[in-house]
Amino acid sequence: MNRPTDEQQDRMEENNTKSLSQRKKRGVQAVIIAAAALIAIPVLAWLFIQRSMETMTQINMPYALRIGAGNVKPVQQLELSNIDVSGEQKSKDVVFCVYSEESKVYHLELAHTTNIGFQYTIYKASISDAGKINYLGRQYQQDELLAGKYLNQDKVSKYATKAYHQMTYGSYAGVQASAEPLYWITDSQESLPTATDATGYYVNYYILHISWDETVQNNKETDMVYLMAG
Amino acid sequence: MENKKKEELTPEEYRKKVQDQIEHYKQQWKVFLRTGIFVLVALVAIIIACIAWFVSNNRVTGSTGTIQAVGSEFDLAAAGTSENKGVHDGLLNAQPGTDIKLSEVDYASTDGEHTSITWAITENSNVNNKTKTGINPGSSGSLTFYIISHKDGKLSVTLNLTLTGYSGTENAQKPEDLTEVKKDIQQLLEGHILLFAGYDAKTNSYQNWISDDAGKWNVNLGTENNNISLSRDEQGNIIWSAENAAKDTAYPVTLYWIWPEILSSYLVTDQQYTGNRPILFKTESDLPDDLYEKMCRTGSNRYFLVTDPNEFSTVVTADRLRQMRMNFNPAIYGNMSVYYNMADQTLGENVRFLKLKLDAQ
Repeated sequence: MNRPTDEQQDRMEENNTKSLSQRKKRGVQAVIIAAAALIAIPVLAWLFIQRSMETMTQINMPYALRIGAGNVKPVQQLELSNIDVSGEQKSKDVVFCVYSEESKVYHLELAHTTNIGFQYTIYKASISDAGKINYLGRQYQQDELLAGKYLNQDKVSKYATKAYHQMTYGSYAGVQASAEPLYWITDSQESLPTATDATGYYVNYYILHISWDETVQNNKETDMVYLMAG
Repeated sequence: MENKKKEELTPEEYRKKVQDQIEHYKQQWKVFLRTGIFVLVALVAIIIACIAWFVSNNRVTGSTGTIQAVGSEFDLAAAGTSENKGVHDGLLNAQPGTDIKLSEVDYASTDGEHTSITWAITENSNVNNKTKTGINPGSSGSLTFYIISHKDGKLSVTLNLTLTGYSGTENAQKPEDLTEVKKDIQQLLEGHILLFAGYDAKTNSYQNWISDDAGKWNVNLGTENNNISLSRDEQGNIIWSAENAAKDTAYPVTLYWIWPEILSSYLVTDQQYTGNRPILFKTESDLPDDLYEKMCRTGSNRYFLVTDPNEFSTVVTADRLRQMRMNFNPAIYGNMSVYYNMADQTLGENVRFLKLKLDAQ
């Protein structure tokens, strides 16, 4: 009898038996884990409560507030250049409007330099066939003066003070007095009408009345004039 | 001597037997791998199916009837009935809520079968979606929803509010007709159409901003008995909690939305600089610490349309935005507001529909 060989074979068989039972154990454990996962995940999902509500609406284009010439004509037609001061009439009327697709409130602002010596006054206006002012093919009636004030006018010289110099020119110091702009703003907010007119817009009309005296000459001076609504 | 009759193997046979066993083990390993892959794939498929079932609004039926999540601690609801429909509800992937009545008040509510519902319309919402009127800069309103508790005691609900912009034609009829807007437009939408959890009518100002750019806040909503609060934590989670909720009670939560018409609403504390329009951050505690720095980003900007980053960064700075708060300067403000207005214009040109979704869990 070959005892070492027998012992070896016995050990082999014993090892086979052990590894078989270990494999069985591992197999059983794997099945249990998989089954537990298959049950736990949907249960967790079911327990993890989620609720939601939603609503949808439409986005509209913003209703811009615009300035137009005359009767809602493009602002490029607002002509202020080449004013002849030599005639007997010492004023010029320019009709402009503020309009939008929606009734809005706004301040009206005017800024201008003072090289030429023009006086600027703004009146409210309305379209009227009996009106005395003709502008871009329509007749307009001058209504009441639009209440407002200059923010930085020197009471004596009538030129601009330095109050808004830094805002306008920053730290640049070499600015003539007449190049310092005067800023004017309405005392209170204007409101567009509550109904549209024949143009289909909500419109307010204004007259910019530019006047001068004999001291103003046709000497090709230039001023910058800004009209703002907002 | 008793000996078991053993198979007597020669060394060669013994070696062959060992080799055979090794081969056997290798084969078993291959079989295990193949089987394991199938098990893994099946597991993933089941997980995905569970998630899909859970997030869908389809009714789930079992063999004996409908499955209901009877263990849900709460439901969401809006006042009114499911008849209060919006004209654009057909564009939503949600169905009308279930009509219920609590304490003689009608609600359209979620439930186990309707986990995702349309938000019933009320007059105060001002989202103007009963007709095709829509909203534009300057629009504002309030939206109230209800958390209906299904248990007594402590209840905590995490809320998530999202705004999503869609392009599409005016005649869009179904969700497939819509396309989500691009990321840069979506970001402008989130910076211009704002949500708050508080509004003070006396000062016409808002509190408790709900936004990725907001800070943390906490507001008390209920009585001392219930100790109900709504809060935003540092991670941006909006949490509604009640210490002592009562079963089958509807707790209201009101949100205020606004599309500020002008930039100064974000900046100033006095309505004289907004033309009597609302103020968003009246006090320093309402203003997030780093908001103005975020507003000046040249990339991913939620508030301004930045077409030329170099020009933008010379005009709009955090210091100037902050200066408007302390010492309003109309000329500096005017230059900065152009970028805000251009962003509004871009939104009007690119976004046709806006969806507000409230998720709660």
